[in-house]
Amino acid sequence: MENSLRPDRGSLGRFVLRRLLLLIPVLFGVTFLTYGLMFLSPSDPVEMMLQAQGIPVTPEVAQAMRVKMGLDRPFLEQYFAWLWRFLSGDMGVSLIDGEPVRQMLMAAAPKTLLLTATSLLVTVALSLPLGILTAVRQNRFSDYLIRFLSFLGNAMPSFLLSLLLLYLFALRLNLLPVLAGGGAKGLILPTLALSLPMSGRYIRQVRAAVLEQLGQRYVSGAISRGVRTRTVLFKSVLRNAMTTILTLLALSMGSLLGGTAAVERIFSWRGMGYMVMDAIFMRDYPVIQAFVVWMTVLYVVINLLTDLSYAIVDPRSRKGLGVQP
Amino acid sequence: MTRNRRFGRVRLILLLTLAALLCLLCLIGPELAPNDPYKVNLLQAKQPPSEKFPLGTDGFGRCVLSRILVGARTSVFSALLVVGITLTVGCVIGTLCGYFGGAVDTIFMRLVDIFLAFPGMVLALAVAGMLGTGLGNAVIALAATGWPQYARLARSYVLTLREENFVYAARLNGQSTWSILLRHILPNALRPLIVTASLSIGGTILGLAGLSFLGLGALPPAAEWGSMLSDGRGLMQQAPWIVLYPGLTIFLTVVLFNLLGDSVRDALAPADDTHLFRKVRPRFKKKGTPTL
Amino acid sequence: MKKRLCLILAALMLLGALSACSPAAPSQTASPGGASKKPKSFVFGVYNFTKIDPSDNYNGWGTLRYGVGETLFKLDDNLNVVPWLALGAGLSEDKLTWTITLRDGVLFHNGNVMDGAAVKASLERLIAANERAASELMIGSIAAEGNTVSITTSQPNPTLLNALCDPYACIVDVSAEDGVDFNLYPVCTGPYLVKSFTPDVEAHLEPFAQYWGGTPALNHLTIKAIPDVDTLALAMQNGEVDAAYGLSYDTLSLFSGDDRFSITQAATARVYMLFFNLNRPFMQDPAFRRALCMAVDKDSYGKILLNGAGTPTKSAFPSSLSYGDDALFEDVPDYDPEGARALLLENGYRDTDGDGYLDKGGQKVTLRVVTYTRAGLPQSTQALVSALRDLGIDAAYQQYESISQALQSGDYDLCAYSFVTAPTGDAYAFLSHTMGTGKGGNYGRYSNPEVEALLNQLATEFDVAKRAEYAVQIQKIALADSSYCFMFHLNMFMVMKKGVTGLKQSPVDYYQITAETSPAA
Repeated sequence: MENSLRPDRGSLGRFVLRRLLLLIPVLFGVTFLTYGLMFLSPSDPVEMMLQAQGIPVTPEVAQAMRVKMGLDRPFLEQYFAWLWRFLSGDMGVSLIDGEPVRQMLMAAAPKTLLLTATSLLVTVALSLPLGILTAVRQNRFSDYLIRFLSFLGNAMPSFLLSLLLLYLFALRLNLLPVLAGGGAKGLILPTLALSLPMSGRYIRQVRAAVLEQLGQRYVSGAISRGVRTRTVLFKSVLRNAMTTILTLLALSMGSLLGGTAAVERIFSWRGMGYMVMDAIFMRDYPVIQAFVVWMTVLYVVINLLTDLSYAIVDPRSRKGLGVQP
Repeated sequence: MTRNRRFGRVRLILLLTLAALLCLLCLIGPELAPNDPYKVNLLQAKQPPSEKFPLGTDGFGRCVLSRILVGARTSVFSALLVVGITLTVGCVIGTLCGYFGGAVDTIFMRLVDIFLAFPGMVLALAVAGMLGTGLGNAVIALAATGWPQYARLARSYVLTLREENFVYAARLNGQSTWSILLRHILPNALRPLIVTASLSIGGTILGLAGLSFLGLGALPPAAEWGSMLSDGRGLMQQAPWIVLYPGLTIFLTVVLFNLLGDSVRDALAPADDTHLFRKVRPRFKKKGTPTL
Repeated sequence: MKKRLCLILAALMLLGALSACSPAAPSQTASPGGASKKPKSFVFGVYNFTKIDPSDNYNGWGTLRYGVGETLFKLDDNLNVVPWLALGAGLSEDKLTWTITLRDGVLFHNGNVMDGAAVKASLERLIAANERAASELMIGSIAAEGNTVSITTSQPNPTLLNALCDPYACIVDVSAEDGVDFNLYPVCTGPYLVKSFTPDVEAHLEPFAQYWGGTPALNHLTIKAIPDVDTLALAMQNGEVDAAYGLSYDTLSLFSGDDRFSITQAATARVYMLFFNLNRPFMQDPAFRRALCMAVDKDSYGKILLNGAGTPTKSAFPSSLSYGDDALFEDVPDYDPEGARALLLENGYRDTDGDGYLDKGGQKVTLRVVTYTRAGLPQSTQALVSALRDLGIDAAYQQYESISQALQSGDYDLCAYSFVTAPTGDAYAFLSHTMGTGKGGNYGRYSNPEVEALLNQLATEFDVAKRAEYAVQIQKIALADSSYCFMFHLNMFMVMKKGVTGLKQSPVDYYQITAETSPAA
């Protein structure tokens, strides 16, 4: 996140524009890296493509294929050609079965987004109230208990948690289905598996952020002036801690976007993580490339939105003054 | 307050000792293993914990405890390696950028932006997909995603450090740039970075285990904790110890390193204003305002 | 106010994500059947779910398995050819023309009649699209008249009828292919037709009321793809599928003691075997190969790793077939690790440099052992690698999800692979494919002129007894110098809820759903 960037005084529009312009070199870099990685691979993509289709690999056939795919051109030319095709919607076809990658993405992306969104929601719903609670009741029993549990949750690998949850809730207690099926019922376990470890981490961060605010002069000042604790809490402390909280949201989005692969596999949730795992084992380069590019673009956009929210929520960055409750 | 500090110090020493013990265990683990972790003995497969096999055997008849001990080296050291690499690389790049500024700064910071743009595991998956599976590639992948945050941190600290008086003094004294960097800037910039590094060890262990679980990290028959979990999945109901013990081990190790990270942070960067808050709390109570 | 803005932004982000979500999977309640009949629906969980155009590669297996398509002839439990869509066949004097009489009253899913012309069109479509089919059928020309089809082969083909049992020969209505994707919605003659097909996810099928074999028992059939076999097992345990195919052998112990489930198991002609890459240095020494064969503990692997579902074998074919009788192959060594050790020592493989590994001629004996993820293969191979390491060989294990690349590139020493060796009840297809010079399945690049000659004779020999003899001879030659190693034959099995009927594991692994398949009452 660009922590050195502050919007021009009062001009949100210019801020947005600047950030958008900065996006462009980043996106170029990302796509360049993604495309270039393919060439670092020890196996020859042409050979692999032919083998996947069951065509015997002879030098002539391979060369013909290379020319047909434009792989004999200089790297930069290839890169831009690929980028152009990509931007106009042609993301290539899967090396395995020839299915257009675009279709695969359109089928898989909504499922991952759904899972990510619900996990985020649950994480926020858990971390925010609990984090504030522990901050306010610092060093009391509830603080220790919640902190202890969240500490444990943070250390738990999400794939182990998935297995345990699956075994416990689906098999033993028979409450939920094993096969996720894409519906609401099937969403519960994967969401829990993803959001519990994250909540573990973020409860403590929320706590720290709120504590930091509570330690500020203005809080004791407000309280000594007779303002009720609750008012202080919600009006000022939260608002100021919002920056930190938004950062957390963006960061957790990041770990969710890439990190759903194991959970999706265990619960048979046909999202992008599931799709890319198959692609990785079969060296299906076009699918992997599309996955990386889209996930990154999504992440970048979310970071942008977060920075925007900074500018909105954190008046300090715009007016340079202290905050009044 | 002093009591708190002392307690913090004791805790730090305790945890450091534990961590050191763990590292020692990783080194001598293979010697401690009661059985050969790779020896397949089908007649003894899926045995529950017994005297000969303290944690039972897996689907191939291999001793679970031995594999955990041997796998410690892979799992823990690889994570430490990743953190070490990212710390070093990030620190160096960040310091150089912060101190020299100019073109170097612009180029590298753009690079940082690009690498930061990749969400968590996505780059790891891409690297695994393109370069192939294996522990080495997994380490590269995680290191590639890790270094930018250190570079950023280092750079911002160095930017402020650069303006400090003692740096000016050193320059006036005629100290060479490299000497200034090594003796003044780096040691000070390192502090917050070490805090971040120690906090991220646990997460890296989880990341590596996760990659191995997916089949992208250490390959069979390597005894890495994550891949032991993935192998044992199919027998989870018939022989739960195959999954349970490696899982527990990952969990406890991460707990240890997380505690350590917290301790280090408390010791090196006590930016915690809780002592201020404690002064405030009695006033809450005195005022009789309802607690939430 | 600002907090509200922020909340709105967050809400917008989430709304955007949620609005993009796909509609829920179609409900599985069956469409109403007869007025008084309770709707019967069946969910079949499978680990490999392909598209089902029969002429595409091996996808015909899916067409047959899911009850969508049928072939002219089928194989019974003893691997004999019996009538199905055809009633019988006669062979001309010159052994080149087969006259096949078709069954009356068979309709395609679209109501068209399956007559000689339709079969002719279907077969011609097949051989144009599928090279393997073309080479196994060897069709020169087809003539159709009424309900008869006359196939003239380009050379005498004793196994034409067997080849017509192969799933690729499912009869489709070519005239219906306009605008219809046969990969998803093939128009065939089976008891069920595809209502909706989501590749890699699931298919919903409905009964074909005019099926020639009687009204199908189900109102709704769902084929669900669950490639993760652990999840498939859990789903079966939880009752979320009515039957499951493709489970790992570890799960047999989970289900066999459980009253709620029944298991149908059958010994098949599927073999797990080892290919030796005969181009690699150490692999060219027959004594070395023999020692490797002696390191394979077939009994234990079959009993323990495969939970009893593996029957050790010396030959490529199950002992139920005359040319698979192990007694005929005395040359093939038994499991004998000490013997292997001695053999290696005798032939100059010893640890001269004290590094713990054998070497010969200054070269350390290093082997690259590869396999893929079919149930049971990784376990057996890993066990074998450990056994080889015990012998002092530096064996490294590598597992792939898709092994074709490693095989084509030849970057391996040993490969554990699985083949169905008598897919159509005859030895020729497998032997030619894996032992014929330059053939597609001959991954080890084996080449032996004697075997070539025998294969050519086998190709045209009509006498069944003679065919068996040739098959035995070919195997004997190939196994005498340990160019191949056959480990065991697999039982394939399906787990289903107790009370499910009409679903039986066949020794030929591609008959599954039938018109009689019915869930527990």
